[in-house]
Amino acid sequence: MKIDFGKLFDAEMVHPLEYESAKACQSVAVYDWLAKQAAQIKKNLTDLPEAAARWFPVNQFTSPRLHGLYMLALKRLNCAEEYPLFLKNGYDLTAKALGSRSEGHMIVMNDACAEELNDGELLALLGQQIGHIRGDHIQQLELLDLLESSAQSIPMMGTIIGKKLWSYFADWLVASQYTADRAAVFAAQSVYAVESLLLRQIGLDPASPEAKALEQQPVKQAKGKSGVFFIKSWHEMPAFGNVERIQEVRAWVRSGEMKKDHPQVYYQCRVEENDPAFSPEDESVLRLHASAMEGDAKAAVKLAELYVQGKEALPVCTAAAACLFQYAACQGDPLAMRYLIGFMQHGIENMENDERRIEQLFRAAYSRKLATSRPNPYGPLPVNESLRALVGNLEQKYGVSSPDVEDLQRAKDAFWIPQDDDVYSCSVCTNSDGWLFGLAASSTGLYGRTDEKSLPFMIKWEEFEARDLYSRETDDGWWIFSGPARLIQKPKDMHGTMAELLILLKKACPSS
Amino acid sequence: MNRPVIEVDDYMHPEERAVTNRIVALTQMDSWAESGMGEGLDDTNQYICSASYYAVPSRHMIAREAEAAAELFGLGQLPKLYIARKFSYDLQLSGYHEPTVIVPSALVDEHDEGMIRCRICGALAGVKAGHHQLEYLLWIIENMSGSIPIPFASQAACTLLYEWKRAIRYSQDRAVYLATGNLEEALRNILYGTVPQETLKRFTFGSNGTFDPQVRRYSKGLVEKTVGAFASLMQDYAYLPERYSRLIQFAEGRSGQ
Repeated sequence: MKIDFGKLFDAEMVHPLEYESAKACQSVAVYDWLAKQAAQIKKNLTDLPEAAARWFPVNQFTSPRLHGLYMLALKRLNCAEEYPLFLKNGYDLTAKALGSRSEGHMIVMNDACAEELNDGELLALLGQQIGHIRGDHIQQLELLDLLESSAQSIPMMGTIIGKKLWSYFADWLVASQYTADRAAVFAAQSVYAVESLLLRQIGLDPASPEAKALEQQPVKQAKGKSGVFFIKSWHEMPAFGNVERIQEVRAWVRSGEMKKDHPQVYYQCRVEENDPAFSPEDESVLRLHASAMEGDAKAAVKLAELYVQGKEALPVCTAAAACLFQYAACQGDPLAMRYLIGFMQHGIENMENDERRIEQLFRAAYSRKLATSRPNPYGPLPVNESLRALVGNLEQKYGVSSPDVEDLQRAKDAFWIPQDDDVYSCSVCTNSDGWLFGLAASSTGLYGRTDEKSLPFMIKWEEFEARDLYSRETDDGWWIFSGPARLIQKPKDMHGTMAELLILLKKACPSS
Repeated sequence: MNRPVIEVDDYMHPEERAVTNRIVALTQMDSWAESGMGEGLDDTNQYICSASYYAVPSRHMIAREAEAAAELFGLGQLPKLYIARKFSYDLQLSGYHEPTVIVPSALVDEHDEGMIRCRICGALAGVKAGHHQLEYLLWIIENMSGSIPIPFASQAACTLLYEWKRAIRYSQDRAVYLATGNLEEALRNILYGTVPQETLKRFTFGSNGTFDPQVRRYSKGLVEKTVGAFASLMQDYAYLPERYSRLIQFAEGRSGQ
């Protein structure tokens, strides 16, 4: 399971150089007028309607792997809109964001990327493009394209105007790439993946000694970037400025600013890159992060406690602590569950003070031998006696085998099911970060988790009996609901599935 | 015993000399270089290469090959070497006073030492002959040509440039042959990266029954010649049979001396 990096706010994402260079561009008197004109022209020339006819659309049916990664990148960058994603034939390991603010955006990726890049690199590439869209770079790039093509048609002076134009935007073009790389770090939740992508674009194996040496490669700064040459480079070089970008993104994740605002990202990236420790304290913190990243729930809790207290060279960071407690709680750690209850009760990190979820966590923590002198405020739950027989019948009817012990325990931990509950049936899936989603039917109720945005839920059998069971279409397709709670996606063929078990259970209820 | 230095005159193809003279006479390019434009271009070129590509360190195999080639061609200073991901297997020359050679990573990954040597020799021979400078200046003309308000002027300029680009290929092929002293290797270098590896392995260069029938067919047919001549106005591609037969001719001429 991967520890969540937390949120990257727009203000943090934008590279300081971009602010300065954008300001310089916008200080030109006619800039606003030109931008408006360009937006108007582009509005009528948008590629969106054509895209579907020209390129291969990526969705959950055509390319489930790529689509899954794209969804993950969007989620990690807190992006609600799903921009259409297309694949086109191309050798370079690049993608491009297109579109306009008014007509919407899309991303077009070369097919070589899908074949040659690993998941982390693909997430980084998609993150860069989402970063360009979120950073509102597309408007400026489209404006540049339009101005360039217009300038080229002016006899005699065209090239000279084009030269001035591109040299004027040169600093902004470089800075906008830095911003996109920052988004890529959060989309891939790894600085290594971003570096690895940039290295592959240059043609280097990320594992080679040459890759390491790039950090030290001196970059000779040009006094004034010649516009003519810049046009050539920008259009012809898919890996323009990658060495500088690698150095920049490495410096950013190791910066004091990152250590202060996203200490967890700072340390995780250092662990990932095998950076040496500065002091014994730093070494112990690095070791704790490394253990937590390897799945050690106890280390995650210890680390989260340090983040709460701001000890051992770590700043106070409740956001990092919340991510770590949730990570450990979903591995069944009772102390992490208890801390999460505290966070919920005090509304720390905007956690909802939800009485039902607190009750669920209390039961899960106490059943896992939470070391405390205080008694459990919640008594035992009534057990559904008919469930075992129903599940047995279904298994016999469809030849479905029971989930193995290991899967059951993982589901128990991930959905915060009391340890002493019997889980009769479960339907789970894992996302690419290793987090578990799905639904489990245990002796005391239904437990599950629907998506990354929400925490595990619980529905007691008495509640299940009292509520309506129905299916409804949502943005994510058809789901089965119990009252207001979303339970599980409705499959096309319900035979032998958890969905059928729910219907049978409902029928068996005395109130039905 | 040290080998004598290979001079530009030893390998420069007469066609290159003629076209270069024509271009220089027509555009007065040599006077442009004095204007200081070269420094500005170098400045930007160095920024782009160092910020975008991997700079080859002196211990790298590519650098060692380049050192050996530089000695052969009497190049006092080694050009800056970079590795980049490129679709083509051809090395790219850039820079004005400070030449740079960009080596495609695909060529390095193939680990074909013979071909790496050939390509590096060809590139360094190009640096010695100043191909990087002309390529740079020609590129500017190519870009500026769109703004010339004289009918067909840009097409005529481009045709001249394409002729030059083809001619430097013939010169570089000769330089590779002189540097390696191996005709078969120099001929393989012409087809390497264009003909599939699997097919290339089956060739026996310079003998009947391999590439020769194709070369003969190309040179004999009037229709093919006409089509080839017409197409060469539109592109800078030096036809493989042309390069192949010219190199054999050059090698035969030298062995007859």
